[in-house]
Amino acid sequence: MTGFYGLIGEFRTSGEAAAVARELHEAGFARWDVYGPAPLEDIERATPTRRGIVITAIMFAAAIVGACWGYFLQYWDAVIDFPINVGGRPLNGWPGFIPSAWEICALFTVYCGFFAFLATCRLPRLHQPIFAAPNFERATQDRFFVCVEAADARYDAVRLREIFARHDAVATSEVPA
Amino acid sequence: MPERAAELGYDGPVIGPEQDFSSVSATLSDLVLERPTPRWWYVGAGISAAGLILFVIACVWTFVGGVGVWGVNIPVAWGFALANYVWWIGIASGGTFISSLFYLIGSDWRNGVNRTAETMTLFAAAAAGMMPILHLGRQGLFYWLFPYSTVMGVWPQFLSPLLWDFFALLCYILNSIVFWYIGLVPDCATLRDRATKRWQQIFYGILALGWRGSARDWHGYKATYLVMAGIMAPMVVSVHSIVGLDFAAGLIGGWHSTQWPPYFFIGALYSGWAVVLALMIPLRRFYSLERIVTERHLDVIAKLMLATGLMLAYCYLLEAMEPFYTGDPTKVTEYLGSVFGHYGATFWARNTLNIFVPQLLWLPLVRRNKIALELISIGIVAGMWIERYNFVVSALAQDYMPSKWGWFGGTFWDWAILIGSAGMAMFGFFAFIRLLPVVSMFEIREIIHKRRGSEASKGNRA
Amino acid sequence: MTDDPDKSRRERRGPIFWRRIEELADSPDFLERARREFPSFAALAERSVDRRRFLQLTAASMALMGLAACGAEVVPRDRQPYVAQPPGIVPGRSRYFATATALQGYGTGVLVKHEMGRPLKIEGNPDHPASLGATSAIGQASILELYNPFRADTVTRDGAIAPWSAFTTAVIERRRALLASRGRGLALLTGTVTSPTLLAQIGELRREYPALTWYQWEAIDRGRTHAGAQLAYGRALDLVPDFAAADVILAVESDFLESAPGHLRFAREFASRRRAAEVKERMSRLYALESTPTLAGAKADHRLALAPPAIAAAMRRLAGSVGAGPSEWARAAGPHAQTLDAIAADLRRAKGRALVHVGASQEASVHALGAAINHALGAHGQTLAMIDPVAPPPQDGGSLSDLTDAMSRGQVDTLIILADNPVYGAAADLDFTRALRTVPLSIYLGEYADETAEAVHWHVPRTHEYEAWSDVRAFDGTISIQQPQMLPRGERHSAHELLALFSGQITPDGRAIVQEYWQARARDAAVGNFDAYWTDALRAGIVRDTAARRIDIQPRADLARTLESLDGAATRADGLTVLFRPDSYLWDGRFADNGWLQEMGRPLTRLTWDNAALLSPRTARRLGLETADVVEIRLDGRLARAPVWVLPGQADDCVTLPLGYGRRRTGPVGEGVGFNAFELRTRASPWHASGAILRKLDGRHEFAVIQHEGRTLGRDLVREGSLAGFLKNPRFLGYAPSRESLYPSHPYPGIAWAMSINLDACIGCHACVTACQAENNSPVVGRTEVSRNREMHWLRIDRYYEGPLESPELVFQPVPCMQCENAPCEVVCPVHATVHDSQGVNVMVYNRCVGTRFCSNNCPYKVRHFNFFDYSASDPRPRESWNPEVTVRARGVMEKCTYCVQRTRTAMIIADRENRGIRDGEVVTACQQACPTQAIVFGDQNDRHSAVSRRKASPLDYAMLGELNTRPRTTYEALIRNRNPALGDPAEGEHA
Repeated sequence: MTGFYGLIGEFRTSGEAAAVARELHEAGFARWDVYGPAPLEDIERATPTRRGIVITAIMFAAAIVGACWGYFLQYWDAVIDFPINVGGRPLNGWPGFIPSAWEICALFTVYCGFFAFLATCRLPRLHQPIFAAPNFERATQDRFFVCVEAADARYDAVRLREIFARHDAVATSEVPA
Repeated sequence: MPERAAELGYDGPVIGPEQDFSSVSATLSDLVLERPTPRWWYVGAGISAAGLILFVIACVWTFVGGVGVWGVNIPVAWGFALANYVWWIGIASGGTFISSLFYLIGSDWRNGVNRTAETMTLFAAAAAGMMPILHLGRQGLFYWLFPYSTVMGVWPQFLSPLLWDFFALLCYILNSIVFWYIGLVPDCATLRDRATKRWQQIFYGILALGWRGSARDWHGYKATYLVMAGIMAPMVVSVHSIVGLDFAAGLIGGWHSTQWPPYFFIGALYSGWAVVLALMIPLRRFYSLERIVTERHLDVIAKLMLATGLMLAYCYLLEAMEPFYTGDPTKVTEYLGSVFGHYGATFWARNTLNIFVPQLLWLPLVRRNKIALELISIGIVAGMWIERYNFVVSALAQDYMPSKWGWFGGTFWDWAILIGSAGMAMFGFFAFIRLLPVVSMFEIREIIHKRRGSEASKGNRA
Repeated sequence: MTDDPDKSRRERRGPIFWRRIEELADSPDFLERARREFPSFAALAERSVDRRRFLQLTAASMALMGLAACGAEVVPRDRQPYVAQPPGIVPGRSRYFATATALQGYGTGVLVKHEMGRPLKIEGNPDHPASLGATSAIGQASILELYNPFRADTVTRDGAIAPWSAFTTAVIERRRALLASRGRGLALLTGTVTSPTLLAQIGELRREYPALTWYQWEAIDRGRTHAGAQLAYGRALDLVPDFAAADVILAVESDFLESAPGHLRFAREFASRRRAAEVKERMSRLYALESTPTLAGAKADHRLALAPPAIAAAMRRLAGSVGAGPSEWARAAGPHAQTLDAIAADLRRAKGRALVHVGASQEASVHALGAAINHALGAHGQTLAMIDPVAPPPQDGGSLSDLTDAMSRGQVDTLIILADNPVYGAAADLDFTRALRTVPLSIYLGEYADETAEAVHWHVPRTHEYEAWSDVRAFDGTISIQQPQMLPRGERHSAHELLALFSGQITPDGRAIVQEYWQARARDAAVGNFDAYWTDALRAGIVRDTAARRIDIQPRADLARTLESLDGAATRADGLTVLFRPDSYLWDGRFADNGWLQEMGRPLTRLTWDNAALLSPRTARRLGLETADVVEIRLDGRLARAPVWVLPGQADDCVTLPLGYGRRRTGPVGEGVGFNAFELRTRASPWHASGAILRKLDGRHEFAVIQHEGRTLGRDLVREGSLAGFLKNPRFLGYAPSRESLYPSHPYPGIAWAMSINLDACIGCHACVTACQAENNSPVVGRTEVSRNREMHWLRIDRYYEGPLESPELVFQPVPCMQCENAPCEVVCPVHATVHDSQGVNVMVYNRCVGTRFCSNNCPYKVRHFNFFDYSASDPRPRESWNPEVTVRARGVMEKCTYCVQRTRTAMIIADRENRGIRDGEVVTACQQACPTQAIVFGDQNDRHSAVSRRKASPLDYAMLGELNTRPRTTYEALIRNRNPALGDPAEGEHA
């Protein structure tokens, strides 16, 4: 429909950005996000998301699976597939299976966590439309940006410009698609 | 800035009060993006490269000639390789521990050093990983330890501490890479965005994976990082405890004892702190990062080192008590042998470097003298190697069968492997400090934000 | 010829050696023969040859020969298998052929094990009186000697290769001259000869050449023993002791456990009265008087270390107090009086069941004293028998020195040397070599291109005992016919063939010579069917009823007076007394090129690849010397450099110099190892020489020692107690630690292999270790590797000292793999390379091993060995000499004792085929089979009646380091010492 990605405002402080975010949220905007050089509480509080829970849950599941698989692998070898008398120990020497099982558990957890994180952020994606926004490179250094996507149902350039200006945005511009 | 260092005391803040987002981004990025490679870097990297080459030659020679080119024998079938292994893995553990544990307990000084610590971990772990393979009689077949049924449908033997070790090391290295890399992604984005040269934009662009710094991404990011840290901390403990089990699970008089896992872990942290200090002190000086890695950092780590040293001293006392407590003649002979016998020198060297000398750290005067601090740290790093060596060798040299007692002495190739591995690790580190930010930028920004409220983030317009 | 060993070695190493090969390969005669016999060999030989190539080539040729040996056309047709002749060779089924080995001229029966027609392993011949089925370390290693690629195999003339035909021509020409002169100037030098055939041939020669003079010489002879007998009995005779009948034995620096002819039998008899748990109060008691430690001394219940003169004095005192000499002898003041009187009393008490055995090194007078004491104790006919001498003393000629005189007086123009390497072994004050060079025609028959071969005109390579026909007599006179086990490689000939050449046979045939002699003999003995007689002799390995006749004779009545008239050896007060002793394994140096023997730890010093000047701790302290110092020994103006080894139990002021080292020319293995003590040894004092001065030189010597720590340090490794204690409470040493475990113990239904080792019986002779090395393909690693603690013997014999260093007691403890049921090595292996089999054996899977070496670290007994380098590949022995039943290990893998798994498996296969269980004693491990004292017993411990079960039921049975709960399958029977109550415990110091 519209020829551009969205409207973006640039702010000096996280406070301003957070305020904007809060207002957008209350106004019921859905497709917007705040961009900044660090994870800062005020912004975080202002932007609702459930990713944390999702990723943590995935990692927890991964931990369980990893531990079970780790133990089963050893049990399968020692008891079922290749049972042999080693130093007179019982075939299922479970205390000896725990260390490896734990390490495998840790491996699963960390890797699943990593990939879950990438998935939730839709990364890797080397070029993002938002990069086209003027001055956006400072989003990873010292500036804060709030961008509302044109795809948002409530999208209204005029109203948004007004909101940005109210929280003394340094600049407001349209992001080409 | 140095002239202003005065106002920034050891009990001062962990970050220069004048620092803000822009200055941090600028200082740290420009080190890698703009700043021409300094001379000291060429010197350091050159020496390390020489070590690396020596390492390669020594490895090839060991592969060609067999482990017989080392001093190992029967009874002392494990020599330098194992000492090196334990030592390196210990150093690595220290790094991970700083960045994971102190992240969990949210101590902000950690943000100044965790990047260096993790990087050091990575290369130390790599060096450690080489040792178990090198020391095999048939190195080419090391993959038989992987959990799959190889020749004749035989599986690995999972009750062997060596196999625990194999899993621990493998998983630990893989996890450390991710842990290190995920911490690097936002900073790569910064570099990408500040980069002016094309290759830099591509290089860092790829590493950054297209990071935008969106608040929702940050949210997931922090959650992931938190859980990872929560896994890494206990993992480090387990990894080095398992290394301790390699010995504790054995039957050798000097090894068969439950105290080694904690003993080894404490030693690991100790060497970890020491290496971080030994690296940070020159690094902040040469890169003039005194405002970001402040003297407060040094002070904290120095104190940590002192505390850990005392714990280690306690372990040494336990080690001394145990043989006499059990009254097992083998343990007693082995211990006395390691104290006064053939390897007595190493025993006293380790005590001097690890316990006696570090007591100087009680004095603020010493903690504040960077030269002294550097020397003490290096001393501890060396002392820890000597401890591992004494531990591995003296127990084997004199165990149950007096008739089969025999001594071990390192050959040229033993030393070449040790020195060469250090060269390899250092070379990696030098490469890192030229290519990536030595301090985690976004985490520093967090601190600044915490300290000065949201106003902090106001960049001085450039 | 140079005296600088290094120089000559430089010369011989490489260039000369290879030059010889190329000549060998060039000589038309050789190529012709090569083409005929081994086409591939010829093809190879025409190329230029380097070292590797030469070894391959040797190997190749040997292989062909081994195989050829199966074919009917090359095997001597009438060679007879030991028991029943199988229809043909069954792959995997080994055949045994009886023959004998000779040392000092005395034979020991052996069975040679053949795989696919290839001789591979030596076992003792149970039917032979001197073996009873056992072997010595030297006997075991003789198979390696047979395959040694560095033995000479071409005739040389003045050091240059010459065809055999050239030699025969030369002999025939000389023969014409000699016949004309009725043999004037013809001299024959042999060692001790007991071979009836050879004696007959010599007789033959004498008829042809009446003027022939026959000289006899052995570097290490038994002359003093014979002289002693002559002195005591007034005639030549040999003594045959019976140690099984003796309750109390006095060993005077006796070699009855190590080298005396018949020592294997003596050891067996001795042990039969020493296994305390079996004989209980019938256990015999052994006293030893000696200047330098011997195995007998090591086993003694009471031992005195005395310098030679003191030994003579002690013997007088004993003789006096047992009534074998004037009673004032018993009152003569002297050291150790109490001890000696106690011994005398004990001997008297055991009248008729006592025995005195005197070693070959002792003065004739001491031997005579021994005879007198034996007589007084009624040993004759009880514990001691006299027989006609097995080796007839030479009627004329005499010794090497007589020959030397004759040569330097120009009375010898043709010299045939059958003796072993006289140039090396000749007394230092004899200028034998120079005299030898004056002889117009000298011929030497020797196995190696050694020092003597270098000094003669013609060197004819001697066949190995397993390559030729001959016959030999044992210590008791029993004759064995030696049959070849393979065809001689190259141009090798036996003494019989050489002598036959001189009596005009152009193409002498060893077999024919020996057989003709026996035909003649059979005719005289009227045995009827000769073929049956001959076949039986070859099968059994002995010619029946040929033992020497026993003679009943008393010592001369005036013996005591005669003895009084002679006083002990004239000794100089100053300086030290030098004791020349044969090396335990190299003997007089003839085995110097044998890697197994070089690398075998000497029983007492634990040295390998070296000899040393042995000093007692006190003397060493006095001279300010310590182990590994280098000294210059000055004796009558002669000098020798030697490293010092401080040996507890050595008599003070005595320095022992083992002979047989410092070889200048032999194979590359033996050259330049150790120092040559012959350079100090003179005619006058072949065994003891006083007045030696030691001067410390700078620098230290690096020994390759197999065992560094000699004490048990109070650990429960060797259990030991007194017979009295045992009789009071048999279980006093059998206590076992608790065997509680968290885990249920693994069941072993069916067979459970186990071993029991009796410490009373073990005499530390190392036959078992050599046997293990031969059976299990253990490589030789060489001096440097041994000095880095990397030797590869699967079985070792630990030697521990107890008590004060000056008069220690010794313990020998054989340590194979304990085959723990809870094997610590298995648990730590990450790749399942060492696991348990269903019969409880801890097996090693070589091709699964990655070489972490954790198993070795975790083995409390340290019985595992690691291939740090590719030892097997660098071992010069030819490929086909390895035992095909046992894997040859590659670099980087761990290895260890397997209870001879190849033998257990073979037995099980046979039992399966015959559809029955394994019989007790059907499986005999290599070590057990070689052991002369039956110290080792192996079998199924689930079978309550098996020998091993019975041994393990002994109250003295204990597991080494049992408190570790490793549950070893190999257990020990504790050591029991039969102390004389009158003499307390030597461990608490000397009472004298």
